Amino acid sequence: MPRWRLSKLVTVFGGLALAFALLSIVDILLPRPYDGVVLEADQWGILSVREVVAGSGADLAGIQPGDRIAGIDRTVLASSAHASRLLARHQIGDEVPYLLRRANGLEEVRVHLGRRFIGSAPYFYACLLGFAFFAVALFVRRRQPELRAAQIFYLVGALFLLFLVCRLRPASYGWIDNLVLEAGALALLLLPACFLHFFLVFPRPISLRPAIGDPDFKRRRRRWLLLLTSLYVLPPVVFLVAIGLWRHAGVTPRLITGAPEASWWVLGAYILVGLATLAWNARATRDPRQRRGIALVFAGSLFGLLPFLGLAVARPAWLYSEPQAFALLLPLTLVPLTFAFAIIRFGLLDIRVMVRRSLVYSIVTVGVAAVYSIALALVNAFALGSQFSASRAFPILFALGVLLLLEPLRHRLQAMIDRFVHADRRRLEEAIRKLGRAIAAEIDPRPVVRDVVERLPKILGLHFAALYLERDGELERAAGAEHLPARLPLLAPLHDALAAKGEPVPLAEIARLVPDSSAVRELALLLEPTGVEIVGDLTSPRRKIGLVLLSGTTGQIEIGDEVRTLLGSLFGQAALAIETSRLVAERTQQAELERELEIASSVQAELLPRVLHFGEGWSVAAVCRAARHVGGDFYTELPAGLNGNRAIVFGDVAGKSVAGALVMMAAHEALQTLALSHRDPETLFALANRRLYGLGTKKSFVALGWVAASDDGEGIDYLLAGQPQLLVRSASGGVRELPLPPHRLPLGALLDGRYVASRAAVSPGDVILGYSDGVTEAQAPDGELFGDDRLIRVLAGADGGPHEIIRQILAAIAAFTRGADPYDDITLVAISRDGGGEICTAAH
Amino acid sequence: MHRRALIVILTAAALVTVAVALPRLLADRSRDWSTDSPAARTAFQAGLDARMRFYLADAATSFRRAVELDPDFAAAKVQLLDLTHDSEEHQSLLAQIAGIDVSRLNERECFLVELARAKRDHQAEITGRFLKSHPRDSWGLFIAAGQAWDHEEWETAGALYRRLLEVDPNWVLARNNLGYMSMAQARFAEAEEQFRTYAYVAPDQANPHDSLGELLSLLGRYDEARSELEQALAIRPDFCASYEHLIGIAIFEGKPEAIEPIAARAETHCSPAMAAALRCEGKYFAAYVAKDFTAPWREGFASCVGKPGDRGVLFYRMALMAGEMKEVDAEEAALAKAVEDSRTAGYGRGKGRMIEAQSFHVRGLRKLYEGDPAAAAALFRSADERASFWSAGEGRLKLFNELNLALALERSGDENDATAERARVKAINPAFAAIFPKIAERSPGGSRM
Repeated sequence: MPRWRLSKLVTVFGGLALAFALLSIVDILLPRPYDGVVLEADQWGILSVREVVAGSGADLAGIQPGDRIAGIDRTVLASSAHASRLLARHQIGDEVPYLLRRANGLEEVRVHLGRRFIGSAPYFYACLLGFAFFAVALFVRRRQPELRAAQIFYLVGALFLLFLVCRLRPASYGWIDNLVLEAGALALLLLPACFLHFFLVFPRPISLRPAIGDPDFKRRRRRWLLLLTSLYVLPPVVFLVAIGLWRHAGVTPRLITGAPEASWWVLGAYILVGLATLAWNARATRDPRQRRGIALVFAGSLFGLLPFLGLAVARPAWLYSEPQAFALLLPLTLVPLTFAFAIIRFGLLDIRVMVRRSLVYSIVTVGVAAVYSIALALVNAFALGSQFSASRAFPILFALGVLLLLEPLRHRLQAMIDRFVHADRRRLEEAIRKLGRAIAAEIDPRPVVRDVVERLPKILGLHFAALYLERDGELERAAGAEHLPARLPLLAPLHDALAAKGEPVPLAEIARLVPDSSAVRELALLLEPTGVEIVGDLTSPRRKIGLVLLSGTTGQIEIGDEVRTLLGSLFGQAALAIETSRLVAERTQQAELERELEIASSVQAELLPRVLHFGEGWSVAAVCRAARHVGGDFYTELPAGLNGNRAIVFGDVAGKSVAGALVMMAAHEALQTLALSHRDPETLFALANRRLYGLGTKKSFVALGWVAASDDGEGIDYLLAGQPQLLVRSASGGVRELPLPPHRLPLGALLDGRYVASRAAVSPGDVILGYSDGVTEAQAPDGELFGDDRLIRVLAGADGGPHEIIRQILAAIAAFTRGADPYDDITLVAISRDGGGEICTAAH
Repeated sequence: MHRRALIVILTAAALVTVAVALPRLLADRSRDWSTDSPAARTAFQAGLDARMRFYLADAATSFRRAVELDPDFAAAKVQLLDLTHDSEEHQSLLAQIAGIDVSRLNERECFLVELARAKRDHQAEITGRFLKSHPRDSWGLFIAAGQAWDHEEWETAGALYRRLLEVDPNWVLARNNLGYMSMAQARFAEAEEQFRTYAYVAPDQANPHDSLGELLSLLGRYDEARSELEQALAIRPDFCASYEHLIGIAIFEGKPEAIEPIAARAETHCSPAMAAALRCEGKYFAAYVAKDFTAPWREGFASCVGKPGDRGVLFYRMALMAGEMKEVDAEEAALAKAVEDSRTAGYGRGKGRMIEAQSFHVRGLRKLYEGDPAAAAALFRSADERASFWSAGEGRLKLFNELNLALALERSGDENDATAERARVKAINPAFAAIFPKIAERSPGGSRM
């Protein structure tokens, strides 16, 4: 049968059961003429007196339990409904002749009809119990409409209602008696199978029941249906066989509250098998909370139903005495109570119930006040007339006493309630706080992630949790449920709204939270089918860190306001922990990088020669100061010509820091290597150009300057590739620029670079200054460049040898930049034709 | 799709319900009696009520009135046909019934008309056919049970009556007949229950009290019996059967002096002939109790008991004890002839067996008188096999026969069987068993013991 139809049938059945029960109650309360006879149920066509209401007309007429009413009002009775019609013809106060069948034959008595009142305190207790059971079942059904176990539990509740309200109803004569009693009989036929069926699928179907996707699904389903059919068919068959034997074979069955004893044995057997199944389920359940809930239900069912079996089945069967049917009702109360308690406390059947403390506390307060009021009334009653009660101070003192005692007692009761009802919630809150503390103490993000996606679901009883962290402007799933998308858009308005709210919100509410964002609506639609129910935000004061997605719970605890507030704090702690861990990681990485740069800087410094050789009659000084730890500028000396002269080469790599340093090292290595075989600067540059071009660093060119003493000793040969013009300061203090060569592209810019060396005459006392653009581009704090003119002025005003000139230029730059780090690497090479020797340089 | 299937199923269920319910509703209508005259219907219903109360004359009057009010009232004619003692009216009604147009009648009326038109041999077949199509029709069941009763098919009759009472627990004539059937089969408790239920349902009728009084008199509960019978007579002083049952009690108790006042009351409310017959029986019984066996012939009231064959066992015993062997022979011969007649002349089988039992009984008495207890015992056994407790009179004969059987067995030396027979009687009517030894002194051959 399709599920929807079965579900509707179950609903209709429950509705009918409720209608029958209400009908029964209403009928009992209607005023009608009544003789005071309570009939035995289920004795078709026989009106056997079960009991007689004390003081009623029947009692006064001498009708006794065991009598059978054969006729009323001069009419032989065919049924109790017939009797009802006959009585309905009379008024309250009429006297009606009854024909009784007794052990010694028929006897006629006259019965005075009174106002009807059937039912007794135990019966009304049974009604309360029945409605309580049904209320629990209805609640379960409403909360879990699709859950098969909930549907069957609802049926069980409806059948219990019928059994307790209709079956145990004291029968009078009304047609409604027959109706409700037969409905009650139906309950007795269905109740055992329903009961067992419930325990076969609660809390989860036993292995006999096939699961979707089972390869052997069809065969297992057939077996399962066969089992269920047998379960449901057996009780009616036993009932009918017993009745059939009674009617046709003359085998008189023992009747227990109107039903054949065999039916009660079947009920007992079903209950025992059901309890065994439940025990097995409890044992096999891994979730400790679920196990506690099942164990509670097992205990309630066991202690509720065993007395039922003992009193209703075993005792009358063994001792051959009709039980007091209501004696079994008191323990039976345990069954709905334990179910309700297990649902509230352990979320049985995946039902979440929020019992508001304020409500419970109010009830407790009212209860305590009522107890004191009763106590006050009792004391008043006992002390009535005494001197004590006559005192005006008595009520005041008593009221004071009550007020003093009220609070302690209320507190004590509330503590007990908290302990029993809210213990799990308290434990949960404590667990979340503990988790928050653990997270806050972490500087490693991995435990934080693990706590959020692994420990938190266990604490809350979630199906899953997932953590998304921001990366490159998107949210990337860092851990958690793999069925969720690997990436999600980073929606700043959502994060802002969540951060403003300060706690996670249900998925269904995020669209309302950011009403104008279609992207948020799309995100909600995207996540809805995945089972995500709660969305939480991880945001630090500095940035948006990520998102936490939580599923619904597997039962137990509702993620209500209190829990969400706790989760908000937890996620805040997690965000801070992740942010802190990131910062720590970055700092560590930076420190490592700085250390590595320092190493690289020292290595780079080692590349720069400490002593430069230029040639006889020449002095040379050079400096290379990197703007960062490592730089792209360098200078070196290379063999030049065949006369043993050396060429000074100074370079400037486009780019700074590590990248520039690497290219610089590559250029340095290429020049050194090529110079071994090619001393001609033009060839040297051409080959170096090809090699640097081959590095693929298309944006990293190398500007080079090559200067060597000319063969005639009267000047210099120079070649500039991308470097600024050389400056020559004459002994008179004038400064001139040497002409630029016709081709001066930096190395590495084009594959086929052409370079032409130039010669310039240098007079004794002249100083030739080569420099990188970092000199002229040094910036003052206000952004002004040091510039060519200022360099020329400084050079013109400088005195001393190359070393002194470089020192003065550097001092001028430092003064200009006011001590700030240079914008670019600075390289200065000063060569003086002064007849001096070689000068060591300050490297950087 | 499922929703559509559900709608189809519900519609089909509704149609089936209507299809089942409609014929039943129509069947209910068919129970009405076909007449356009409300007054005739009222009179007819009064007739049915009177018939149910066993006030047959009143019932006939009401049915006659109904026919007068509606000359086409078929059901009233059929009921009247069953009750009228006027042969002219009977013939007239038969002719009218033959001419009834059954097309306007309902099925039950058709059945009743067909039954009235049919010969006796075909009536059972017609009833069976009707019951087959109307197994729970009260009239069909009642008539079928009566037919089975006439043929002494007790099981069938009992089953039909019980089914009728299931359909209509207040069909008191069925209770009455079922009570007599139970009585005939010595199921006295059941009989009492039926009669008491009858009395409860119809406390204003004489018949249930009479039936109950008759039963109780047979069981030796004479005071209760007298009370019931007096109650019957208080309701209907002309309920003549109750006077006979009161006389029967007097005979059971051996109190001939109680007979005359009863006869005097019967003379007032019933007929002088009946009173004369009761007084005659009283005289015989008084002479018998006084052991003055020759008194009827000496005092000249011997002829008051009627013609041979109808004169009863008491007359036979008196004649036998008085040595009036011609009378004895004539009675035996008349009984033998009556037996023959009953086998051939259409008596009900119950009446035939009663005559047979009477015949065997008187012959047994003669054998006992002649000193042949073994032969007497055999004849008494035959009489016992044929007699039943159908009525107080027949039951009295059966009990008396059984006690004589015990006497014959005792005289033939079969003490055990004799004791068993006496015990059987004692179990049914201990009072009668207690006074039998006195009677035995007056039994044929008793003086020689």
